[in-house]
Amino acid sequence: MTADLASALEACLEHLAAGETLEACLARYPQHARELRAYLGTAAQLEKASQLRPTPAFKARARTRLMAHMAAHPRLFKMRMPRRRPLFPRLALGMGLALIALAVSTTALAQSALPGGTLYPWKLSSEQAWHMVAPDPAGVDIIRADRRVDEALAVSGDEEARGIALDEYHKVVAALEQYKDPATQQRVELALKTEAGKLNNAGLSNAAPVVQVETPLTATPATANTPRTSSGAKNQEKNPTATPLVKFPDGLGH
Amino acid sequence: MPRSTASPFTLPDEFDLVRRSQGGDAQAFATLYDAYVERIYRYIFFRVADDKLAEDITSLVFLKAWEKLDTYRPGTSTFIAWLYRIAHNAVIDEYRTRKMTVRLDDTQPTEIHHEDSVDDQIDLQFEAGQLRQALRELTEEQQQVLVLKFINGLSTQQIAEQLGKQPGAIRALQMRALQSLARVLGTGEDEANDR
Repeated sequence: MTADLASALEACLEHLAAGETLEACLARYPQHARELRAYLGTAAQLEKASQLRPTPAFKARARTRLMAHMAAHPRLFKMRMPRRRPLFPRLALGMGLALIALAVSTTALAQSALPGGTLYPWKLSSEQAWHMVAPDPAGVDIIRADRRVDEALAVSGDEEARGIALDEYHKVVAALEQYKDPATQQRVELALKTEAGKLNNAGLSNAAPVVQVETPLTATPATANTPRTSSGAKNQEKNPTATPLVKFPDGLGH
Repeated sequence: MPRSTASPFTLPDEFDLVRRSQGGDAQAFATLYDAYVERIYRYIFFRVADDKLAEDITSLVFLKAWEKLDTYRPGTSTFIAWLYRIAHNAVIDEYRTRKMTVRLDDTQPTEIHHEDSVDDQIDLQFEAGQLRQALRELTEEQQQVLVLKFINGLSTQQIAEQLGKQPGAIRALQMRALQSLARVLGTGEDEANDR
């Protein structure tokens, strides 16, 4: 009932505002006519008061006071508008970050790639980059050699892929022969022996390097610095008396 | 019955004026003052006991608005709605701090500025004084609804947004407020029927 009356009152106010007469409006709601007449009459009294205005003197006085206040209290702070960077640097930054994220994730994914796989060249490149920045390049090369052997074993059923792995292995071994200090040569020798063992066990003895240790590396430091690689022909030319550390069976060495 | 001529219009360049004011442009804020001072004054006039106090609080509202301008977010509400909230709080603060118990009989006579004839001015002055006295018999919310709706010309929807209520609640509040005011003014149902 109350809700009905409230709605009727609201509707009547709208009808009156639209130009309808009071009597016409009350005729729409005969059941509420008595209450509506009283309420609408009161509303009309209120609306008449909407003509009330402050005096011009007050308005001018208050304006003057406001202007003085604003002059005494300037707004020193800036609007809280978010500072936007120019579009191009934002785009470039976004693209750069996206590229870095892509490179990192691809590199991580490539570490499990095998010879012949799409990401295998990426794996080799990432290892090359690692080698360039590593504080112990020899250590990186030892790991690379071990990885190539593992790859060759993993793809032993695929002759082409195995060939790729072994080619890469021989390149790493050639690189390992460039390290001349005795301590590194000792690490290389141990690693190559382990890898040779792995290859022999897998029936790939033809690919296994033959590690020659005719002179103990630690016994004669003076001679230990002498280049001793066989796979590096250039080294042999430079020092024809050198004893090769590593040599491969015919057809597989460099 | 003519409806209020004080429709709650919004300045066409209000957004720009507000932004400039927020940036420290006093002239832009003065333009906003010119546009809204009458409505704020009317709102306060019927909520306090005397004209002088209504003027003081009206003036204070704009000073506070200037100081708090950075808290206003264009788009969340109209600027006048934001001013009404400051005005409402200022009225409440005045009552709290001064603990005003001013009797209407003790207040200054209502000074009405109107462009119509002297007789009309006197009538309006008398009626505004009567209304102000009668409105003070109503609850805080009832006063707000009646002043915003019939004196300042807001729609039910706008009042609902202003007071944070549903339009249905505002309609019910409006009816009870008119009922109470009619009784106080002596224009209630019984009186209406006697005419």
